[in-house]
Amino acid sequence: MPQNNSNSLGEFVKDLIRSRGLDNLDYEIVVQLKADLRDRVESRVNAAILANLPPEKVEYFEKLLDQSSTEEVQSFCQRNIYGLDEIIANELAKFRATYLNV
Amino acid sequence: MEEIFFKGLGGKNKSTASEHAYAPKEGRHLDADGIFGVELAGHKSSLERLDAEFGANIDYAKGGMDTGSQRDAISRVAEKIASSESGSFVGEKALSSAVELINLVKASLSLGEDVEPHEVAGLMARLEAVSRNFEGGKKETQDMAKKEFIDAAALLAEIESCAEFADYQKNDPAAPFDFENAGEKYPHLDVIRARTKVGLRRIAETNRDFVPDGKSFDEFLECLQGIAGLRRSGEDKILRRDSLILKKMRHKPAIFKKLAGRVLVAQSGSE
Repeated sequence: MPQNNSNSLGEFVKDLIRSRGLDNLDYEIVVQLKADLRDRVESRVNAAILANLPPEKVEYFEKLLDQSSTEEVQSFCQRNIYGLDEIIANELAKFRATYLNV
Repeated sequence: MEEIFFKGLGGKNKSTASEHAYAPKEGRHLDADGIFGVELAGHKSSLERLDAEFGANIDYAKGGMDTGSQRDAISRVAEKIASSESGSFVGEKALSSAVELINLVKASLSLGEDVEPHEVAGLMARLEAVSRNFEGGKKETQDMAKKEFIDAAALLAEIESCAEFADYQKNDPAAPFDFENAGEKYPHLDVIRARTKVGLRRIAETNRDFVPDGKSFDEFLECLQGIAGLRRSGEDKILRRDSLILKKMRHKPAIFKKLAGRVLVAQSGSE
């Protein structure tokens, strides 16, 4: 059975916290840590997407964000960013390395 | 001075927007999609009222500052906010009144108008000191005064804003903000941030009057963070444009979930 996307992100963040040995902190702190980490991962990936969009497409992308569905925006990114999956994978790996200081 | 925080609408120096230097530029209202975050689309009279109150409350806020340079700083930040496109740096849901905005600006300004990169480590040290109050439940919820609470929230928001900009600037080799290196000195900054956030949230839940208009602590923090971001972006048009786009992307989390989740699923499948 294919893994759910949100579960994968949840696992990614959980793994980071476990690897740093922070999962034994108070429950509330761990919940907050997970939420904060998830936000930062999201910011990093979003910034990478934006940075890799062709400059002439940025204005249109902004309009799409206002007017279009998630699927349309996703499809636009895939059509206009060469090697999008690799860029995201690279960003996630860099984030992991920075966070774990490895 | 504390009394000025969160006073109701209608400052003592009433003036109209047209009389005031900080009224929004022509054709650019502080609108429904803007910094006040209220449902006012199409309600011109309400907008005019808010515009007027915005100007009036800037005067009011300046009256509460101790020095000329603080008053000038209020003016500059207010000008930036009034001219920001769609209030791009302040959460849409976080603000509901002009006076609230100014009070938050004041709290944010207490950290200094512009935080330079070399000052980030100092902010982290201060946040670490605040977070110690919450270690092992040391700080009881009633212990913190309102002013102390607001200052701590403003400090936390400043650090959150630094992190946000650092994440953005990781893609820019000329990034001036050395957040990651400062982080080496504070490897547990994430824990410090989380602990402070949880502690302040508890205090806000117990002291309902600490956060205005019945807002949640998280909305309050988002608002302070927005103001810190606005100050940081200055006049850099690209940075302001990108920040607005990134904010819109954050409001559509499903995009990130789908794109990043897909990559992670593929990775886990290939392991």
